[in-house]
Order: sequence, then C-alpha cells, then structure tokens
Amino acid sequence: MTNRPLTTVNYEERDGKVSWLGVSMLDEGKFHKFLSEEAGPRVEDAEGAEEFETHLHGLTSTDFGNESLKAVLAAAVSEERAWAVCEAIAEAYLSREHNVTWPWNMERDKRNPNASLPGADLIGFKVEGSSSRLVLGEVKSSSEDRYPPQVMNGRSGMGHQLDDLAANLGSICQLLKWLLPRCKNTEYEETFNKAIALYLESGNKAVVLFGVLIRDTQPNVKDLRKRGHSLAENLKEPTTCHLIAIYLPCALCELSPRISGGGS
Amino acid sequence: MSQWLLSGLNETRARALGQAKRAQIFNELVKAPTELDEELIRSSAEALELAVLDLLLEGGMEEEIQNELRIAAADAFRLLRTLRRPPEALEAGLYMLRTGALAILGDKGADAARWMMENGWPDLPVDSEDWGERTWATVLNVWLRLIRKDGWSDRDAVLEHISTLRDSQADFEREYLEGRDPVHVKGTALELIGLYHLARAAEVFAYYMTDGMVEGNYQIHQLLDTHFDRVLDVCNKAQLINLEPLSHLLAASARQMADNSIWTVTRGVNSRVTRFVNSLVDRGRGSRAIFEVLPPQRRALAEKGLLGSSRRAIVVSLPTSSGKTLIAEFRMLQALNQFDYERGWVAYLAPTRALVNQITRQLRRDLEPLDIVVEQVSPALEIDNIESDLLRQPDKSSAFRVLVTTPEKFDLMLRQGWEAEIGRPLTLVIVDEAHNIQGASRGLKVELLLATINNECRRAQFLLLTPFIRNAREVARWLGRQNAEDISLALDWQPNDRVIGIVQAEQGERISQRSFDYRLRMETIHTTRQTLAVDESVMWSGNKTIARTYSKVNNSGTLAAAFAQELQQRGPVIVMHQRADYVWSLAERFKIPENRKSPTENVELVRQFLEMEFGESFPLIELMSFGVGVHHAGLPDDVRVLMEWLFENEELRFLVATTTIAQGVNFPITGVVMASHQYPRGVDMSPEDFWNIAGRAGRIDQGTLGVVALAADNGDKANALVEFINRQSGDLNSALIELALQAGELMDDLRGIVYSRPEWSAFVQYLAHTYRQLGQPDTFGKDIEQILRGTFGFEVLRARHSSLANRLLDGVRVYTQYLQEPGQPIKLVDSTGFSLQSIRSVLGQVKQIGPDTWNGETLFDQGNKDLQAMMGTLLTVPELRRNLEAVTGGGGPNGDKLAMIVKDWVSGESLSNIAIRYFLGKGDDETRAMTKCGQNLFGKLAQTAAWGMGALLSITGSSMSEEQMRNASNLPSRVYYGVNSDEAVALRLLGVPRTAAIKLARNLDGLLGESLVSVRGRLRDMDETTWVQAFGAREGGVYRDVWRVLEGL
Repeated sequence: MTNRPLTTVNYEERDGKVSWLGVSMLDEGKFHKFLSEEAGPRVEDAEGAEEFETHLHGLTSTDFGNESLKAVLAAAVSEERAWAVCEAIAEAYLSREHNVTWPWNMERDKRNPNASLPGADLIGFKVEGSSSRLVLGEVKSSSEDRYPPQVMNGRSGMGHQLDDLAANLGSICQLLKWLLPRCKNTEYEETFNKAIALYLESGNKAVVLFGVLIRDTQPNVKDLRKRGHSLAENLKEPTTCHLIAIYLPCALCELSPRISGGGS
Repeated sequence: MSQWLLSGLNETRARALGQAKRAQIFNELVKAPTELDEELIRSSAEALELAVLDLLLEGGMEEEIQNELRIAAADAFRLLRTLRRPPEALEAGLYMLRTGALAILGDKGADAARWMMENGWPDLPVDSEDWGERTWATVLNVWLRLIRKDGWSDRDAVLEHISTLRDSQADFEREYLEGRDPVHVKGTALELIGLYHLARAAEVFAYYMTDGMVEGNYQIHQLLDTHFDRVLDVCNKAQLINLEPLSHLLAASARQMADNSIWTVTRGVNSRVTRFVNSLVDRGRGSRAIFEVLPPQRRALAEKGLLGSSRRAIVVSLPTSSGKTLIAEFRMLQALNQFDYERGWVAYLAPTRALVNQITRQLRRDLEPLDIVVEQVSPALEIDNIESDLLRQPDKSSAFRVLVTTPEKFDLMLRQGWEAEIGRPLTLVIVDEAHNIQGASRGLKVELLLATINNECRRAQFLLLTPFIRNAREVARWLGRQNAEDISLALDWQPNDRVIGIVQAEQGERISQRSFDYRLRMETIHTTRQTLAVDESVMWSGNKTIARTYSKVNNSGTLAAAFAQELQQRGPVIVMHQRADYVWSLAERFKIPENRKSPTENVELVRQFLEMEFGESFPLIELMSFGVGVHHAGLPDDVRVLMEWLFENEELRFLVATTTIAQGVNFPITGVVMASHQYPRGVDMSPEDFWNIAGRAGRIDQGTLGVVALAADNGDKANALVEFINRQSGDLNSALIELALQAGELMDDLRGIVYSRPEWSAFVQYLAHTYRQLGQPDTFGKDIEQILRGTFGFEVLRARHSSLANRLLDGVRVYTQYLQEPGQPIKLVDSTGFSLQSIRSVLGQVKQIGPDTWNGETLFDQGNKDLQAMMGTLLTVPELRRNLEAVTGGGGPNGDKLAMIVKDWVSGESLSNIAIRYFLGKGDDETRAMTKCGQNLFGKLAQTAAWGMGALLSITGSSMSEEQMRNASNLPSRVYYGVNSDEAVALRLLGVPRTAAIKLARNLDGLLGESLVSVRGRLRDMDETTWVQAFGAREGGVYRDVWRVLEGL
C-alpha cells in the first residue's frame, strides 16, 4: 500500500458482508504514473510462437500430430491486450488499496479453457496483520452507457460468477490444488499456508471476493448497488465481498496503447 | 504445510472417516443407506488431497514423510469413494481417477481396482464429436483401466483406445480449435498437448505392464517422467485447473505403479526369475494374470532387497493374505539359481497335510512351466521304496528341485542321512507358519530340526514365513547370526477392509404365551488391526426358519447358523464350531427350503464320489444340495480338499468346519462365523490362528468388506470374546521355555521324562543325534553348553530363568553319561524318531519279530498274530502311546483291536464298515461312528501305526537282506495309505483316492518300474477308457475327474 492518494471516493455503501465502492482516478498525472509504474509491469509482452516451440517439439515423442496446434499457438490474439490491461489495473489497485498480493501473474489467453470448469480472473491473498485470506476476484470492463452495464448480469456476468465462486466449494478446492505448486517454496508459501488454514478452519468460507468493474463513464452507484444487495443475500459469514468500480480518466480503448507506449 | 494441515485436520478427518466407516458397514452388511454429511466428507477429502499434493511437491524420501503421505492418501481414498459420483460423465470419470490415483499412493491399489470392478465407471464420451471432450474421455478411460488392471483385456483396451485417438486426431482437432473462443484457444491448445502426453504415458505403462519393457527400453521411470515432465511444463504455462492437479497425482501414482510392477520388483535378478515373471504375467492372457505385487511383497522383494540378498536367514513376518507364497517362490528361484551347477534343492515345510497338498499344487502350477520339478513326500514318517526312488531320481529332468513336506518327516529324513543319499545340496529351507515353533506339542521338534540343519547342511539358507511377530529379527539372528535379515510389516497394511463383531440375539416382542421374537445384533469391536468399528449395533431380523423364537436361537450353534444365513447373501461363509459332532448338527440347520439349489456339475461330481466312497446315506451328500459343505478331521483328506475346492469356487454357500480349519485355510473367504473360539479339547485358539482365519476374511479380488463374527449366547460370553479378540500375539518364543517351566524338577531325569512328558522326546533325540553326529566324543559333556546354544530357546531360558537353565544343563550332563554307556543303539534314535530309552524298551519286547514277520503277503491276514504283537509293543512307546490309546477309545491298551482295524484298513474295507465294526458306540448313529472312525483313523492311527511299524522295522531289521528290507519297507506305507499293494501306494502318493487306488493299481502295468513323475504324466494323459475299464462307466468317470481336481488340473 502506498501513501499517495490515487483516487477519490464517489460512493460507498454496505449491506452486511458486502460493500460497494465507486472511485475516480484523481488526475491524469497520477493515473499516468500508476499506469506506468504499477499496472504496466503486470502486463507482459505478447509472446510469439517461439515460446511454444519446446512444447510442440516435445509432442513428437507422443506420436500425436502438431500441425493444427502449431498454427493456433503461433497466432496473435487481438482482443487480449485490452483485457490484460484492465486486469492489471484491478490487480495493481487492489495491491495498493487492499494489501492484496498476487503469487501468479496469469496471462489471460492461457486461462482454463474449459468454460464448465472453475476459474477466477484474480487469485491472490489479502494480508491482514499476521493472518491472510484467500482472494478470488472477477474483473469486468464496460463503456456502455447503462447503469449497471450488461457485463454485470447474466450467466457470464460478474454477479453470477461471484455467486458461483462463493457457492462452489469444489471449485475453490480445485483452485487451491492448482495454486499450491505456485506458492510452494516461494515467498508466498507462508501466506498461502495461513490463508488455507483460515479457509479450512472456517468450514471453507474465509474468502474475500472482489468484483472490479473498470469504467470510462461517469460514476454511478447504480453500477454496483443492485448486485451488492443480491450478493449480500447469498453470502455467508465469514466470506466478505467488495465490489469496486474504478472510473478512468481516459477511454478504455486508449489503455492498451498507453501501456505499450509507456503511458504517454 | 502438510504438518499443520494434517494436525489441524485431525478432528474433522476422524469424524469424516467415522462416517465413511459407518456408511461402509451399514451399506455392505445390511444394505441400509446411511445419512452422510457429504460436505464434511468432501471437504476433509479435499484437504487431505491438498496435503498429499503438498507432500508430493516436498519430494522428501524420508520414511516418515512417505508414511504420512501414504496414510493421508489412503484416507482420502476411503472418504472419496463414499461420495456420490457426479452426474456428468467426464466429471465422474475425473472423480474416479483422482480417487484411484490416491488409492495407489495410499497402497490401496487392490481396493481401488475392486472398487472400480464393482462399480464400473460411466460411459465416457470417447466417440464424442467434440475433440476436447473425446481426448479427455480417452485419457480418463485409459488411466482408469491401468488402475483397474482387469487382466489383459484392460491393457489391450488401453492400447486400442489410444491408437484410435491418434488416428482420429487429424479428423477432429483442427475443427475443434477453430471453434474455440479466440481468447481461450491457446489455453485449449496447451491443454491438448498435455493430454496427449498423458495418453502416451498410459500407453508406455500398458506395454511395460505386460512386457517389462517399452520398445527395448527397461527404464520405465525415465520413460514416464519424460512425459509427465512435459505435461507439467505445459501446465506451468497455463491455468489448467483440472489438468494440473490431476497430472501431479497421476505422475506420482504412475511412479508408484511402476514400483509395484512385478517387472520392476524382479528386474535383473536372473533369467529363471524373468521366465517366472513372464509366466505369471501371461497366465493365458486371462484375468488371473499377475501384473503387480502387493505392497508387502514390494517391501520384501524390492525395498528390502530379498532377491538380491545373500543373507543366510530371513524371517518374513507379514499379515495373513500378504502373498507370502509368492515371496517364497521368488526366493526359491534365486536359491536354485545360486546352486544350479550343484543342482541344489529346496525344502518347503508346511505344518499340516492339507497345507502340504495345497502348497504342492500351487508350487507345481507356478513352477512347472519353468521345468522345475516339485514333489511332496508323504507325512508318513518312513521313506518307502517309492519315495526313496523319487528322492534318488538320477534323471535330471525328473529329479525334484523342490520338496514339500512336514517338519516331522523332514527331520527324520535328514537324520537318516537323506541329504547325502540325494547327492545334491539342500540350499534353502522354507518354513511356512514358522510361529508354530512355539507350539507346545510340535514346536520344539521344528526348532531342533532347524538347529540341526543349521549345524549340518553346509549350503542351507533359511526363509521363515510367519504372521506378524515382534521379534522377527531375533529369530533371524538365531539362524543366521550376523548374516540375517528380517522383513517385518506390522499392522499398517491390510489386504482389505474387515469388520470383527460379536453377534447376540436380542429378545423381541412376545409371539405366543411362552415365546418371544428376536433380532440378531452385531457389536463391532475395535481391534489393534485397523478393523472397522462403529458405535451403534448392526441389526438383522434373523432367519425364522432356522430358529423361530428367541429361546430357540439363543445357543451358540443356532446363533451362528442364523447369522451365517444372513451373511451368505454377500458371499460364501465359513462357519466354525468346536467339535466334529457339533459341526454335523450345525450343518443340519442350513437344511431349509430357501437354501435348496440344484447342484452344479462340480457339486454333483463330489456327491457321486461321496456316494461311492461312503454309501448314499452319508449325510454330507444331502447337505451339499443345500449348498453346505463340511470340513473336519473325521473326513478323509480327499474329501476335505474337495470341500475347499468347491467352496473356493463359490459352489457351496456354507463350509461348516471345526475350528482347526483356522490353521489350514490358504484361500480367501467373504465371511467367517464362529460358534466357538476354542479347539476340540476346550483350549482357546491362539491369537496367530485366530488372525490367520480372520485375516482371510474379505477377498482381495472381490467383496470389499470381510466379516468375522463370533456368536455369544450371553453377556459373559460376549465379554470373554472381546477379551479373546484383543489378545496380542507378541514375541515368538521357543517351546523349550514353556516345557522347562512345566517340567521343573522332572528335568533332573531326562531318561524318565519322556514317559510322563513325551514332548521331551524331541529334545533328548536332539542330544543323541548331535552326539552321534560329532562321532560320539568323550568330551560331549563338556561341549554340551555350546551345543545347546544352537537352539533358539536355551539362550533365552538362561537369560530369563537361569536356575531352570542350570537344572536343565545338569540333567543333560547326566543324560550324556547315559548316552555314553557302551553299546547304546544311538543310530536307531535317528532312524526311528524314538528316544533312546524308548528304543531300549522296545528292544526288550521284540525278540519274536524276525525277517519272516515282515511279509506283505501274510502280515495283514486275519489269522496272523504278528500285527497284534507289534501293536502291543507300540502301545508301550511313549512317543506313540497317546495317539494309539485314543483310537481304542480309552478302555486301556488294546493291541488286538488296533491290529484288527489296521488289517481292515489295509485290506481295503470300506470306511463305513470299519466305522460300524469298531466305532459305533452306544447311542451313536452311523454318521457319528464314521466321524469318530475318520478322526481316529486318518488323524491318529494310520500315521502313528505306520511310524511305529517303520521304527520296528529299523529296530528289528538289522539281520534282513537288502532284498527283504526293500520288500518290507513299503509295509508301513500300506498302513499309512490303507491299501494292500505297492502299486496302490504309488497311486496314493500321486493323490489317487484310496478306493480308486486299490482298483486302479490292478489295471495299470509297470507302475513300480517307472518314476513318479512319469506315472503322474501317464495319469494325466490317460483318457477315460482306462478309468472306465478299472471301475465301470459311472465310477470311472467320477474317479478320473476327482483325481484331476485333487491334482489341481
């Protein structure tokens, strides 16, 4: 957490274990600095085909073909950058304002491809004094002139995904099994252990959920309020949930070039 | 992490496991689904799985970590398998594979295989149009098959599925990838790469499983690691939430399966072992093929290096059903190889006739494909001509390399100098059920036999097989000194889950003026052997045809029957009672309409055989049509083997047996019900024997839960039974200690002691034998302490009871002077198996027995009096007296009656005639007479009289010519087998039933000129015509088929 204030609060409400908060970036200068120093390093350069060479080469030992796979892995994915930047902003913001750490910098294009199986955009730990909690989060972005925007609703909407995460123990355990080798023997091992201990002791409920909505519109409490109330009905102690809308001083479509160009 | 995770989890884990046990017990026993806290079980299982992953990532090889991992994985498996399967096929497949992989890591592979066989798995979409789905389905399917290993069919299916997947890749993969959301397509592609490696790893394993190599490469671990490393590399790049944790589990369990593979365990030993493994794996490419060893076998063969070991003495102390015989077979092959140039041989010692037969059959089946001749010599103590030809067989291809017999017979063989006669070195002695060395009546003989072998057979190595004992190392050191090893596995591995309980009747509502309804209640008992137990009782309504009311059911026999009737719904049940007559009446209780079944072909065969042997009214014939078999010492060996055979093949629902069966059961059973926990003389079973039978409950190949139930007709009995179950088997002690404690001052006079304590005969014979072996030195008295140190017991006696040890030493010194008196017939001690003092007493009585007496034509004639005189003499021999007197019914020594029985027996008189003539007591029916006859004739008279006659022949035969001696030496065997010709003796030795042997001997030419191996070959190849010629159409077919069963064909 840094001491420099970055945002100003537009609205803040709470219903039981769920809080929702709207913040605007204070000014262009600070945002620029934030983007280049905090969010930017979290966005890796898109990789080329060479990175996959070893995997493709190894495949020959299985007697399976690699032609189609080669083509797919070599192709660049155009949509990827904008999402990556929004997630980087969310991660950097949560690190700074909520003391969340990220053991694993996940590239979006290599996420769990099987939609029916569990996954989360953000997986990290919230350190609170000597204890720590597992953080799971979803990130959405929208320029839509509707409050709330459609990304908040429906099966693939943020609300549903958060409900799913909170309700589906199996998927969280599966995430933990996946996360374990990434923390084992790293600086995150202790944090991971503490979070798991708390999680198991709480009957698999001590999780902090974050839903981050990145907007380039005017702040509006309606973006989050309805979703906040409905989540409050479903979540059980000691699960907590924070919905955060970040209102940017620039258009969403400008983000990617600004990051690539060092924020200018 | 795992440390605190596991300790933090303790309480919920215990609660969850408690629920899982409860569910298992109730589901399996009374088919009553129980309420489960699925969330508790699921989250405990998930946490355990997490701990397992953590321990795997830790990678520590320390035993403590490995154990922790094993236990956590086994518990996770126990929990997961109780959960409902997810409805969706792929998810269900994934769940089953995780569960199976955890089972492998928990050394519960056999349980997982059984679980999969019993439950199957859902139809996985291996033909799906969706390539991702198809690939996942195939990978799940093939790995599930590798865990299940249902013979060759699963292995073949693995190869076929992967080949099909590979062939269809070109048709489906591109379209699938193109159809994916562009954002996810790279992850998808990476996932496919990972799955292809998993498929290839499965293929590699399938080849290794049956061939021991893959494309010329024997390094299975490296081959597997190559692919798993690549899967994990791919996972490292992507968020493959399902694939990655699964791959970690699979990588570890594949490594474990490779470790368990019979190829890995036996690699690089010698070509004989490789050929043996080939034959085990091949087994007609059927489902009996053996691909991997059980964890205790792995521990013994690979981790403890049994096969590479040059240790002279090894004690393998493992729980029952751990597959000790296979371990022994490997050790045999190694010993045979080691002394191949000298054509060394192996002695396998088993405690009972039944086990000698069973083991011979098994070893023959397993080792004959390797051209290793396995022979058994009869427990009749004398070596007759036929056996002597067998032992001396000069033809290399027919000469035995493995000899199976009882310790008593082997003792006399060695003392009579048979190792030199055989002309090849004894290289390995295997002692099965070696804990018997602490047995009161026979233990000391076995101990002293081993001491003798240790002193005198230069090449001999030892392998002792025992149920778990605490001091295995001490026992091994006794024989091998520094060159010893013990392989012990206490209680942390069980072949299957098991529940042990006390069954009582609980009084119910009044059903008439004087009678009440009842229910059967089982209390499961906590034991030290990880048996399952729950706090509440398990209830059954009880079969009201077997017993209608509470007062009718409430005695241990009926209670056992009523409970067995409930239990048999899960599979065949052994029901045990204390005495043969109780066994008959218990068996009768199962004659209720619902048990009547039309007999199978095999059951019908045995019924016809019984009819021919015992007449049509023999009760067992009718019992068998109710699915009931009977097994006790009153039945001939043949019949008992046939009962075991039918029962093992599940063609009988009940096998009602005396408790003595506990010592001889070598096959798995689903349930055991005990009406009594005592032997016929009212002595409690030893913990070893109890656990031997309890350890057989639950089959490794089917029926997940084994049940052992003890019937109690009142509360006190129930308490006594709980105490009985919880008695511990501790250290293995020498019988010498107990004998010395009991004898006390009697040890001052070791000459006289055999008259009151015949069990001391083995000890004084050991002294005489050693004295003779050392060349009868004058200094024997001084060396005696050194000699006694060769025994297992003496050292312990000196350490724990020094005054008794000194007393024994003093007694031995006095006895030594007796041995050293001039003209003592010391040599006869070794040729008769009698103590010196017995021989001297016999010598005084046999003046009238001369060369003419030993005439096979006349000795058994009704009018001949010589046999009476012989029996009269034998009745005075302390070593024989107890058995012979018992036969005559305790009415004082009666040599005439013994001689008459022996004559009838030898002349081929039917059992029922002998029974009625000599054993029909007041108030007895024919069955009771037959039972008594059988118990006395097979159990006591035949063996004891044959031994005595052999001894008399040694004592009186010194003036006989070689020709006379050769003719006479088969006479004791005629008594042993109850036949009247040498040809019939040969056939009996080959396992032909008595009645059949007598008739068949007349119809086969040249039996005596041929080696036993070749006669056995002739019998095997003989078509039915010869049998029919000897017996007529019906009997010929029956005898032929029965013989083939007895021979294990």
